[in-house]
Amino acid sequence: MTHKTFRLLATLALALVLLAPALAHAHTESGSIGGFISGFLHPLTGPDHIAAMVAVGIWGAYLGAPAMWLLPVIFPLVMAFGGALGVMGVPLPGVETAIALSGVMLGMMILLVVRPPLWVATLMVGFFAIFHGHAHGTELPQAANAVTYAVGFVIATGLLHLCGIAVGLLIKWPWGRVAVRTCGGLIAATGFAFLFGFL
Amino acid sequence: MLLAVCVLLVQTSAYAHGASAGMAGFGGGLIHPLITPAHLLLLLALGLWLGQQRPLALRLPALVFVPSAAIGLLATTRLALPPAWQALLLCLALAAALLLALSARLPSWAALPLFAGAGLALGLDSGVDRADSATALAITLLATWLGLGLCLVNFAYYTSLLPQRKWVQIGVRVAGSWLAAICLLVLAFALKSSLAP
Repeated sequence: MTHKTFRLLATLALALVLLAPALAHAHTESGSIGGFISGFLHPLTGPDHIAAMVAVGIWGAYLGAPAMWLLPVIFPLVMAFGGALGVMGVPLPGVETAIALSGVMLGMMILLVVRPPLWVATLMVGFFAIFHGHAHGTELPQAANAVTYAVGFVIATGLLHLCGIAVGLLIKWPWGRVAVRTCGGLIAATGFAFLFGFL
Repeated sequence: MLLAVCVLLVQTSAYAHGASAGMAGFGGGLIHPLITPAHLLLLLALGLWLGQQRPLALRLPALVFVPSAAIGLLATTRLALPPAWQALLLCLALAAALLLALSARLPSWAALPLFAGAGLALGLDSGVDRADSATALAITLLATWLGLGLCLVNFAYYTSLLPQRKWVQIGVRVAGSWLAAICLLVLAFALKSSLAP
């Protein structure tokens, strides 16, 4: 081993040692990074939540502008309100039932291509958003950094909506319409499965 | 290679200082608004909202935000704030984020208290825990003041450069909605912590 290679390896080893504490910290639930990861993963851990968030995006895209953009603006706000209620410990009846019903209802709207007036769609999405937020707020891990947890949580939710919008935009093509309606059927089936305790 | 090691060292120390646990020196003060999540939320909400207004007018932040931030920072040498102070920062961020999500335009007299309050609150919450000398304290506070002003102006300026396409403007409003949702959740956490025995 030449002197130059030895110095290179020694410097790399030192760099790894310096990095090590930061890496170890990143894997804990506490701290800024831990809070972000915990918050980001939270909406992605429940299939019932994922189905409903994606359904909001798909249905919005199906309804076209301005619903496509209005629903993803309203949903995080109302969901955060529900989350605040959950964090504060304010009880809300039938949370799990409402979450399962949200999958059923939103999935059926997509499957049956229901296009209600904008205010009806907004009210419906807002109503279910409160229950989703409440469930997330109640399940908040105690050790998480509040700000970064909330940042991760909201970004993950928003990205799920964007995924839904991307899927919903497939309706431009005939095969896409079939695919989107199939997605709606799958979302409704997931909701039914949760509603009747199969999942 | 030594440079790489230095960079790694700097990263570790910046992380070790955390959000608002402490800062020192010009660099620490300058990046303080960026590494303190509550500060970043407020600056982002205000900056994006400012940039959303066409044409971009930076007179209000220059005349109101920057001096009030200076007053707040100077006051930290005499005042020690309770942790509950962060709730005010989040309330201001929530207000600015809602204005952004609604794409609302406010007359100058109505926007004035928002900018003055934000500058003062950010300044008061950016106190230095420990400084070796009066000069070091002054340098850190000066850098923080510059950091606050530069962050706000940059966020506003780059937002104003975004294309006028409808989907881009809606994207900015969605960002406002996300920021407002984050503020609401964090306020709930703060309220829960303050009520806990």
